[in-house]
Amino acid sequence: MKKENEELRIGFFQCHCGKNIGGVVNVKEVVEYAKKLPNVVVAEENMFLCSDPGRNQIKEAIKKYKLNRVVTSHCTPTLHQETFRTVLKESGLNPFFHENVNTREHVSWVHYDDPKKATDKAKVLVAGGIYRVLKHKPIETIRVKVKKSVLVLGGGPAGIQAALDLGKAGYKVYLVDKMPHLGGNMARLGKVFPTDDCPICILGKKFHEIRTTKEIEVITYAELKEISGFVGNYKVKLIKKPRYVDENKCIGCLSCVNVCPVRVPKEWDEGLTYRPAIYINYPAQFPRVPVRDEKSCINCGACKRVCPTGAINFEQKPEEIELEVGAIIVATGYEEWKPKELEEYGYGRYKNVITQLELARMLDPEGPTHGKPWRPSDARFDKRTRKLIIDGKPPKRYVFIQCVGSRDERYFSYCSKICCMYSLKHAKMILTDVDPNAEIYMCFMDVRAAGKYYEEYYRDIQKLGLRIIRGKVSEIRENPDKSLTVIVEDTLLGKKIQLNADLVVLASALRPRKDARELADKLRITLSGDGFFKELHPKVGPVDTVTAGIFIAGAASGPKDIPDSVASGSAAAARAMALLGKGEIEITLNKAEVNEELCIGCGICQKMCPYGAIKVYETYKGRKAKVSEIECQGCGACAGACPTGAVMRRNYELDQIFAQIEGIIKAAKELFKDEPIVICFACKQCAYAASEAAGTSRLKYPPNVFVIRIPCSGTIDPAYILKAFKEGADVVYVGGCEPGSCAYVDGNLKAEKRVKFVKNILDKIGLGSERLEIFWIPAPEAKKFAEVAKMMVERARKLGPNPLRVKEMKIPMKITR
Amino acid sequence: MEVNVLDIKEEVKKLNALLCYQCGTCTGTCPVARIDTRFNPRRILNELKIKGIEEVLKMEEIWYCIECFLCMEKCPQNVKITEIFFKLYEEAIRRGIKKPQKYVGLFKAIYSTGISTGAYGGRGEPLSGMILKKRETMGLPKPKISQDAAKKIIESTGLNKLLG
Amino acid sequence: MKYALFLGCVIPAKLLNYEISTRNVFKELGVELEYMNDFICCGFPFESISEETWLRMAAYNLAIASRYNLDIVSMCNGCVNSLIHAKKVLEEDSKKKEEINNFLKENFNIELSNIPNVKHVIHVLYNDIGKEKIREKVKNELKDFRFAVHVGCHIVRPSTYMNFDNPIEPEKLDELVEILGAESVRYTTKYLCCGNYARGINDKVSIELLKRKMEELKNIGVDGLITICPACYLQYEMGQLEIRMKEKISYDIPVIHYTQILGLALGISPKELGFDLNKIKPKKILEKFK
Repeated sequence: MKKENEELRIGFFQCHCGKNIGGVVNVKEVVEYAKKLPNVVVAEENMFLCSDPGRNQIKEAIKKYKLNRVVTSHCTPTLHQETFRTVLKESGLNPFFHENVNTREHVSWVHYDDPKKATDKAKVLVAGGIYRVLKHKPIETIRVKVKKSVLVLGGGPAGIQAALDLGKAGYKVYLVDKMPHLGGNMARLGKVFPTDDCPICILGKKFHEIRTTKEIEVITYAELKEISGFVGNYKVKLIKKPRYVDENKCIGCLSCVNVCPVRVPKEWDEGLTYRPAIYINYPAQFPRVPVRDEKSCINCGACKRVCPTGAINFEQKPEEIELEVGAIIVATGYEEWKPKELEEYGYGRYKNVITQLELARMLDPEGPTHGKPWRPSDARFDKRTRKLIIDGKPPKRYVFIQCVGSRDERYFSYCSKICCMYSLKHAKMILTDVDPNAEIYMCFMDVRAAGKYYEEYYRDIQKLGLRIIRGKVSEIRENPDKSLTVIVEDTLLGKKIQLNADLVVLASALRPRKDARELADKLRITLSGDGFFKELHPKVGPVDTVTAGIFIAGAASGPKDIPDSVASGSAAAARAMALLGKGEIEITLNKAEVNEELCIGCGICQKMCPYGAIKVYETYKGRKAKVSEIECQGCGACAGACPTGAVMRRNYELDQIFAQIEGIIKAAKELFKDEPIVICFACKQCAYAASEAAGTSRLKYPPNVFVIRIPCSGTIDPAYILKAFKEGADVVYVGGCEPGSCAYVDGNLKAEKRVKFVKNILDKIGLGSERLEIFWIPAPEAKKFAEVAKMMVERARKLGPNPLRVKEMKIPMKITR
Repeated sequence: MEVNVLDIKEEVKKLNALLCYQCGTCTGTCPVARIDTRFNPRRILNELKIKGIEEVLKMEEIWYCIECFLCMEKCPQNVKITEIFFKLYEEAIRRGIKKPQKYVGLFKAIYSTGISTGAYGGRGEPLSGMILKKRETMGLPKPKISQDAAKKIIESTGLNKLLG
Repeated sequence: MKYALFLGCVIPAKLLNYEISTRNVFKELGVELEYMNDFICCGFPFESISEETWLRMAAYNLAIASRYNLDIVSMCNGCVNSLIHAKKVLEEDSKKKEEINNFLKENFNIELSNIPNVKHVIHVLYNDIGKEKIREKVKNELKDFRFAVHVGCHIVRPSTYMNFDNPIEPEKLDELVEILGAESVRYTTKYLCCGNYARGINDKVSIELLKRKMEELKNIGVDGLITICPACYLQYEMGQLEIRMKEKISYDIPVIHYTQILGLALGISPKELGFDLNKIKPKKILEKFK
């Protein structure tokens, strides 16, 4: 702990990173420069600072020079900040007495063509780091007990796998599905590639495991209502819809189903067949308990009379279930897109244009024709026998159309990943089980059969006689006999072809579930641009989300086949176990904090917080804000909005950022004398990540752009910006995530408002609003980051120096926010 | 006032020409390609990428587009196909590679009379006395056209030098 | 309801039947038209070969039109497309608008500030007046008439700025035909481009596109082909005459402006609708409405 007038002794360590930094930046010069900065006791260099010798060098220096602050200069904090914080911890210092300067991604990798300027920029950033660390305060960690139980939302292959892995490891699992049974879309597929076994057989085995794993509690026909609490201690409310059949009494004899006189189109079969008002979706379903569809029921009571156990109860009401869980796994899967908007294919208008999922239902051996496809135009419902009658010849010519809606900028930009394979599977099923002489044309652009055994599978089907045409269908016309004329260019021949088809089957895109946004809001997780749930990191955090303790598995985060879904289910289970395994977790309190002396109880912070983690209470000192440190996610939206500076985001406190700005600008004025000074506040989720990517791709941009990393663009405090201008920055900009993709719900929009507000001030005080801007720079957009940097330097040149910098006059900083 | 000469390569790029993944939706839907197999927009987009703009500008087929915009409407990659043809036309005419008769006819009419009365086949003549008389007998007013304005505008962009 | 009428080029010279029928129909529906003076070609023909020329011509017309303080109405798909596109470009690109404005001020002493709305006759009928209102005013139901509808490309595409109807299979004109009591026939070449634009470049394509449609219409038998675009109308009417003369093939499909049949339904006489100027006589119509 820091004593009041303890002397601050800083050690500075510059890494060469082999030739990565040392090949461009004159490391010696930087070290010498650092030595002259305030409170620096020792400045050293190392070839690889993150290696054992490197870390030992720091440890020894801490001992030898009695260091109490450490600044390390190397790669981006995303990679090694934790490494060096640990070094401090191991040396008996608070890990937050460390500051990381990025001289690789922000310097040597982007300014490699100008070693002189690169070295200067390194010095400027180091100065910022040294000034900043002087203001650092210790941040403590606390331990919190966690519930060793997990809620799994979605009972498809991913959710089932996650539940089984967790259950077998001894965790309590609540496996919830909004359907009346488990199985997900997988149960509708007839057969599954590449082994072509029936999904029901696979699922049947899994259902048995679930039944025999006592830790797993299955809750079907239920949805998430609300959630509160925090990682390790979530409180969840579910709503269980009334199925009007008592699950405990029902013995699954299906007498009720057989006696029901009603028939309505069956959703499970995409409306191709009919079901009673009390029904099951598939014979092997688990639990095998029928559900009564209240809307189509005519209340005749036949089912009640025939039920041998008296399980049917029309009076059932929705039931609320409360659970306490340590983690949540979201495995809610996907939906097939119904391509009605895609006019040129006539889906919805031409009866014999169907989707591949609909074909899968026709090919299911449990269907009305035992797996023989039919033309929907030949089908009719016979009221007397209450059966589907098909009068017409079975289809002979099929045209499969790939990439319907997928890889299409008008609808879904992404590749739906599994369509090539399921279309091949359906071709195989038709050619082997239904009609070896069927003519199947598959119109594709690329066949993407990447996966174990997949290319082999593709070859097998070509051998069976599938005819493939490389071209996307442009038009479908219906003929009077309800057959279809398909027009496509065979792009390999460069010829237009007309195909006549009995059945056209569209490989329609996989889309996020319609309620994905609503669920994401409840869970406080985010969606990616495609509308699926967003992973924390596409490579190294594929099943994590921005909210600790909430994981994603299966096609809920993007199209996946069954092997991948199962693997991600296991991965999510393992992540949950890693979190909860010890029964308690450590939480570092680098979060918001309130200085009660300054707090006026205005409640703005409470409005800002998307997590309800900061609230105003009546205390004996008056109305004061208080932070629930466990619930706080550390975005800093409250701190940026606090009008008195009472609320602080620890490690991003006003004086800390002010010091960094002072350090940077002071050094830049000296080293970049004739250049404009441009300061960028970059959200670490996106703009900062993009700046890292710019480094990785060696994209050049002017060296006089200095980036200050913040947890979220919503952390931005108008005072940060005004401070930068006051010190002499010529242009300032903020980089945030695109609307809708903020990791902290809408910090970016809050930042936008504040930037607008400050722009206003700049106009009023005569600096001009064009000196300040906000940009959305998503993490992968390295190019955009570099372009924006270039553009802002250009703008700074055009606008000329900041008048405050020219005259070096002092203006009073008494702008009330 | 000077008219900027467009950087044709940039313009074509802006219209997403490089995004084409050769699916053939455009050619499949094109009413011209249905009849005249020499015209294949997909192939032209491919040749833009492979051979480059200079070569494509010399191709006679590029002029066969009838501007119905159907391909552009259906393109899954949002390639602005029809507008790419427009840019190619503009550049081919600017470079003097071709002076298409259809446009010369329209140009002449509009340049001299302010309007072109010949949508059918690209011919144009001023509103003749006969027509004006007929209008009068039908009780239709005499159209007031500001002939010179069109001339001035055409001269301002230099189109008269290219097509005249 | 009052609009400024942008006549365009072809209509006042060659399609007086379209002009007079529109005038009389609007009068019957209580719509006032003020002829817009001092206009020039809308610029459409140059959109493909000189973007700047097109935009300046379109902007000139829009600036002239803004004097009237009225929405503009035109009978031509091309003019409407050109002017709506120009309006969109100018409204979205303030720099371009300034440039164009400087040009207009310098040369013609006119200026664009509020760009008026641009509408096609069919926009006025479908959106502003509405099917219900028209339906109420129908005096003669056109029962027993079978018409083929051809909407034309440029009134619906590109949908990015012509967002009026389904861009691939438009249906609103069919609705407007059907509220008159007539049948709008479904046929496979319905959405096929008329081919006018291939004239002078690739005549073979133009004739072939025309023939495909005419052959189908002859086979299924219709009382007329309904158009709303002067280019399509001329292609179908003059084209048929040309084929009759050169190849001795007669299709005899009467080509009729939508406003003409609308006029009949509203009780206006064929003469006042300019039917005497239709070169392929719609016999069935003329017999019924003597």
